[in-house]
Amino acid sequence: MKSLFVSGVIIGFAAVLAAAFYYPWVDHVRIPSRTSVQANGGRVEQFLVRLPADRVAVVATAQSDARLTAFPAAVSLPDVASEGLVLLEHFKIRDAAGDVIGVASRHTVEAQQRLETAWSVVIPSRGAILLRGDAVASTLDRRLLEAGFQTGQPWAGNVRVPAANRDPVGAGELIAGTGEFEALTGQYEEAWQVTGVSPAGELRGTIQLNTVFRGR
Amino acid sequence: MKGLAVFAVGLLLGAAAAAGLLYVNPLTDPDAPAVGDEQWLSYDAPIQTSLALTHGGDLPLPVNPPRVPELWESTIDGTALLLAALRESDGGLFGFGTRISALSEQTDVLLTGVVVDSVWTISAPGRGILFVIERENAWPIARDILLPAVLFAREWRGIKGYAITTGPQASGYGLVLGVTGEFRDQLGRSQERYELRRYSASKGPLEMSAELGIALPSPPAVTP
Repeated sequence: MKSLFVSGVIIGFAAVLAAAFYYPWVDHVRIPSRTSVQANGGRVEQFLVRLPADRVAVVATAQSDARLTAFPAAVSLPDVASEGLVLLEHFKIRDAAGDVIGVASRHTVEAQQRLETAWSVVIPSRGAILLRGDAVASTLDRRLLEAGFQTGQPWAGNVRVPAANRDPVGAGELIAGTGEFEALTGQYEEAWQVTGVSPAGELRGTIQLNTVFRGR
Repeated sequence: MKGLAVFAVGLLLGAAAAAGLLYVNPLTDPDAPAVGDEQWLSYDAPIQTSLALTHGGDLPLPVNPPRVPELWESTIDGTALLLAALRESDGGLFGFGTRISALSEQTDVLLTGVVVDSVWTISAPGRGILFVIERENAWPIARDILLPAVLFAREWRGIKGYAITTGPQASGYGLVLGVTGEFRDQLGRSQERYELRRYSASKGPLEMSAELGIALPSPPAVTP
């Protein structure tokens, strides 16, 4: 009887510790990666943001560009001295097939006479991608105006704007990663394909992040 | 039959002993890295008052502002996004930080605790952008505050401080990467700490302070 009791204690103790260690407490849903391999090496993967559906929050220190319309309207930044543009955008991010796979932030800041963008793309089941690229102020507005857009008026069309490339050649760069992106290096190109603007300035279209990553 | 009952009692006692051991397990409550010359940036707390906050819907926190979309899709419902103003110790604005956090699949309650992986993107107006990569352990907060508040269905009050950063640097610090402007290509370390004073199981933290400490190498002296 005593040995039964002791066996029970040991088995109960061991079972709970084993469960604590082996139970998958966190198991993110993972959609198979839609990647391809480039002929000259490198893993190619495209990420998409569909506007306006994938906007989470957008806010800026200035209101001079179609992209700077705050969303939700209640989001605002505390007063900042006029130290150049700060644009903070947050999106859900999709794979090339259109499935939501992650969350991304895109910060654009003017500093040292240079406008640059930093993307952090967090895919819970895979890791984070941290990107840096140049930005060009008001390019989107300029292209929309050229295509007939008038502020405050609805507009429909098709404008494609490379947004954060290192103009005229080259692309933005992967500066760090975590998880499966930790030991990679690479580049990305960003393009905004805008197909409409609402009277309130809400963009309709797609942001494309085309990445090429390689092992270090 | 009696033998089975004795075995079952032993099983329950063993399981209870293991559960008690897990609750006070020192392996999931590591010492915080030493505080050095970090610049401490406080951010909106309680975090419900931040510029924007959203998550998958399971956290006991209202999204803010109310129209901000929830991260409800099954692939991202373990994720939270916070946009906050970061202030220096004198109250001056340092910049704005976006923190995207996700529960880590390395979570286990025997060795690592409740592991959260976070990436901060911090924009300092006129100065540049920083990334901060952090691995955090939320188990001590869950054990001391969340679980008692939920189990006893009452508000927790007290004063408890937590240094939550456990990596990814081997020394236990987070990693700071200078991205643009004056921070460009600098590498540094980070740590994050909370002080909780009031917590509600249904509304989340009601009184707390939150700080992110970053340490970057001093800029090189300018030679005329």
